[in-house]
Amino acid sequence: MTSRAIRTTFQIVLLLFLLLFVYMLDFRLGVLRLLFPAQRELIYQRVTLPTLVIQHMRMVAISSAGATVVGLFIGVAVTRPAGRDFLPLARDLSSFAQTFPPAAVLALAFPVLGFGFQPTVAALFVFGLLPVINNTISGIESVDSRIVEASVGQGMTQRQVLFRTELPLSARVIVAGIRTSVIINIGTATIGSTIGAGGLGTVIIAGLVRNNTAFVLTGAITAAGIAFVVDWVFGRIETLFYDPRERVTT
Amino acid sequence: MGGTGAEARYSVIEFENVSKHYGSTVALDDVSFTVPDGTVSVLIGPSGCGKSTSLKLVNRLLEPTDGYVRVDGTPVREFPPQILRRGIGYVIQSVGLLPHMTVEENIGLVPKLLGRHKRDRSRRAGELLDLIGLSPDEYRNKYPIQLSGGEAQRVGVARALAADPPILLMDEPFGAVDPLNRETLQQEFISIQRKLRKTVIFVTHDLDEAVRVADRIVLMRDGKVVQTGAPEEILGAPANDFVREFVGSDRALKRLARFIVGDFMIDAPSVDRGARLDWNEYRDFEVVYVTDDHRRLLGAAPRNGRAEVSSAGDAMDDALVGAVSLGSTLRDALAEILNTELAETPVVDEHGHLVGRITMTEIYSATPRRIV
Repeated sequence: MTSRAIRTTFQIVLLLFLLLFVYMLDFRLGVLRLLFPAQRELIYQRVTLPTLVIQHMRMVAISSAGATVVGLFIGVAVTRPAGRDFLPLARDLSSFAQTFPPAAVLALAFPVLGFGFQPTVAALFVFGLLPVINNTISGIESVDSRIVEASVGQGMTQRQVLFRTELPLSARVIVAGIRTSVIINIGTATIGSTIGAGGLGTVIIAGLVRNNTAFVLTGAITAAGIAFVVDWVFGRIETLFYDPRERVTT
Repeated sequence: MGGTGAEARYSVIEFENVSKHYGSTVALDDVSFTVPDGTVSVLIGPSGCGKSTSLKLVNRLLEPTDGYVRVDGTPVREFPPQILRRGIGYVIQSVGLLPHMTVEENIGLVPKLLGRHKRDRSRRAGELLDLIGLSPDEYRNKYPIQLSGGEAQRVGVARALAADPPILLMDEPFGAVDPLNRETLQQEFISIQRKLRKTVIFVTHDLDEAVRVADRIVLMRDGKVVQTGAPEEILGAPANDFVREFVGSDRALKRLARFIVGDFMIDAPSVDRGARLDWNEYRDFEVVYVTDDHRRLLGAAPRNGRAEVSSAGDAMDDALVGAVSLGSTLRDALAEILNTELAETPVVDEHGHLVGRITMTEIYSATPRRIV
């Protein structure tokens, strides 16, 4: 088997495991019983796991979609001639913000936005913005200036240069930024449960409070599994775009 | 600017007292020259002389600080830049192809910007690939990374020609190609230019290239024009020490590359291989050429050490069969003369028929000399 085939097999097995773990109660019970024979309460009863997954992914989807749109916009804006003055500022801000712990963002957001879903999405949005901005800037900056000049020289307008040359050539790097953003958010969204946002953090926190490792692991395994699968999907999406390192031999 | 085929395809480019400053740095200083319609002007000079800057003023990638750049009498700044650029073919080193587009998409770039239909673009790409000697079926769907340097450069030329612009700007178009391929590309460019008669500004730092492709050379240094003229003029009469040094001590040799054998050759004495060779009939000649029934060159019979009268076939020395073709340059002819034991070289046409000869006298006649 080639390394590629091994990876694909692993991914399929992982996806199957995740689906069974979330949607087949008996399967999950079996796995947890194997891991924690002494634990009497293995299944979190107050909310079903599929519901938690949906809550979780809703937060991630909304915050990441917003981060992608706004991040792309900012990244493109500061690489335009008119916005170039703000480029160092955007770089600094996004580097600075990435050093912020997500819990601190939550703590700052909830006095303004209250408890629950909204402040969590806001925190995830801010946090997910940074890799998108960074990668959009790096991606566009890495396009060979001679190729841009060639495009201008053929008679493209600024907008055409952006959409026909700069974005297609940097798409792979930009998608990698979105990928990072989404993966970070899948993990970070678990802390939203501390302020009542629901999601997979709910079962983890319940486990921590009640000293029930099976609950903690239920949330952690599911979040990690989703992160794996989403990462794999993004990996596939990236290959659709132009790869600057590509060396085709025919 | 030519947009439709119905318009006159007349295009002159004029630089009138053009200056370009970057802060206190002077990139161009009062540059004036004219590129006549349908001719190739080569801008050449040491790096930093302003040749590429001048080129970019024509399609408004740069704007002059002072003076006018005109196309057909209209200052280029009166055209919207995108419209201007779509009417001017632009060729740069191979990196200028868009790496995420196929050869066909690259060639169809300007036609697409002009709103041409996909079917027309595809047909035009096929025509142009044929013109530049690449098989459309094989190359249409390749990506630039799959092309050799020479192929990428040809596609660059095809892209510039796609919308059939009257003007071509070529910025070191063959600079990234190895010397052997470069010469082939130059020959192809010359033959394409002979057909299409574009008004071309060609930037290079390679004097041999300039001599080969130019109708006129504009020699620049430190942002100023030092000398303009046909290559043979510049090589034959350098205006000052800088030009003399730039064109090199072998300038006389380079200059010979401007002259075509066909324009200088003289009649060659010849006999049929089966005929009798009587040297008394060829008193003035050191060598007589031997041909077959169809006047195809077989070899040469030198005078020295041979019988007065013999059969042509016997007198012929097989080793002396070197020749140059009608389209070769006098430089090639001189090289051939130096290669053989004879003091001259025969000239043949494309079928190998003997059509004349070149001696050192013809070589000298193309060389300006005070005392002959």
